[in-house]
Amino acid sequence: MKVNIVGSGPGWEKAPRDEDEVSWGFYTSAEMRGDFDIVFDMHPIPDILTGKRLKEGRTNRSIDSCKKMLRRATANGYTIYSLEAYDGCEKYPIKDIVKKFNTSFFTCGFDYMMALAIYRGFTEIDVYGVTLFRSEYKFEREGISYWIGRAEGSGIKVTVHGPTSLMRIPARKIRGRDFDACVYGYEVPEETFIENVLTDNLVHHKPSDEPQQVVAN
Amino acid sequence: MKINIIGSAPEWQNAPTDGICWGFNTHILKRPYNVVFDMHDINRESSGFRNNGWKLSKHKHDESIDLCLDRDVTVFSLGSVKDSTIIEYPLGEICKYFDTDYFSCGAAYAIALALYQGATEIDIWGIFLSFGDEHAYQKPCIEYWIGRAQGMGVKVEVHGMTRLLKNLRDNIYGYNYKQKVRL
Repeated sequence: MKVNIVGSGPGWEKAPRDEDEVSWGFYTSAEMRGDFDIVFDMHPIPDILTGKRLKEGRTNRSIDSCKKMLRRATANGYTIYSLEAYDGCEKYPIKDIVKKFNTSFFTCGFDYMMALAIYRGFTEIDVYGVTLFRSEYKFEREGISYWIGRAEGSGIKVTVHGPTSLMRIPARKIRGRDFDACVYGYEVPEETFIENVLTDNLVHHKPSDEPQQVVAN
Repeated sequence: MKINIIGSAPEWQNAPTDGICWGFNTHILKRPYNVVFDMHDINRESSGFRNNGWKLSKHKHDESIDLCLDRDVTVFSLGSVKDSTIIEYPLGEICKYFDTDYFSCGAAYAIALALYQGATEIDIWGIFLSFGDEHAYQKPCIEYWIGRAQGMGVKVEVHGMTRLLKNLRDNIYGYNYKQKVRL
């Protein structure tokens, strides 16, 4: 039993749209496609609709865009999960989830989706359009990484599709050479890493006659 | 089997000294360990390769390796040194077993190996991971491995002052609650 979790970042359009597949989206990705089974909007919708959150500077979502989202749910026939039950939105089962997993480490909507997917017994989770390239997402990356680990540890197959910075170490320079990403300690580019590991072909025993430079990692 | 994984950040002193204790780099100069992870090229470090601005000074590094050898403490590293307790981290096996190569720091390697060796409990001490420096990319990776452990049914406890498993401002996203409150 597989669920597709579809974000609004590059690559979201590659997510399958077959009717027999289960697809969950965010309120942002629901603006791009309407055929989700569940849309997650883990924000205080009543406060957004009254303009309270906007006034407080805690969101940039307008009242109109929030109303549109609720109308889209009715038109497209999907369920919205949110903090509380409200005008067509269902309450996310936070108590059950926290009790089951014994953690309250939730950094973004994605975490809630992953937790619910595990809770509901999905055996495969495919992720699309979750890139987290922008630096403001660094806190979200923490929770997402945790929940991906939690899923994989439970035996669920998790595949992150398309461009993403998830499960990657940022690009950096090692001895003056650029590496898009690499595995801590080892000095081979990430794209050839597994191949090198499995063929015992790592290059960590080079002679030490190379220039003595600062290792910037 | 419980394994204590102990970093050098504040409050490492509260970690137990008995049982199985795994540490990192030169911290064995401060307290005893059964296993040390030095996931660097030990030959290069000993030749001073990392001595120029790198946090492990050659002197300290050599001292800690000598101490490990004297005490027969296993050192996991990138490669092995013949006739010594310095052995190569079984990266190929670990990557194959867990089907991932997501390792951003020594603690990630330690947790992975603990799981691989069948730990049923992992206690983490002295790993603070404040924002803004290299820990910004180390933290999510350690959290990935903690999640992985918990998903496997392993009990993981993070002790003392730490940012591990803590959200920004300690809030649960969306809700007006602090973490660890009763929902």
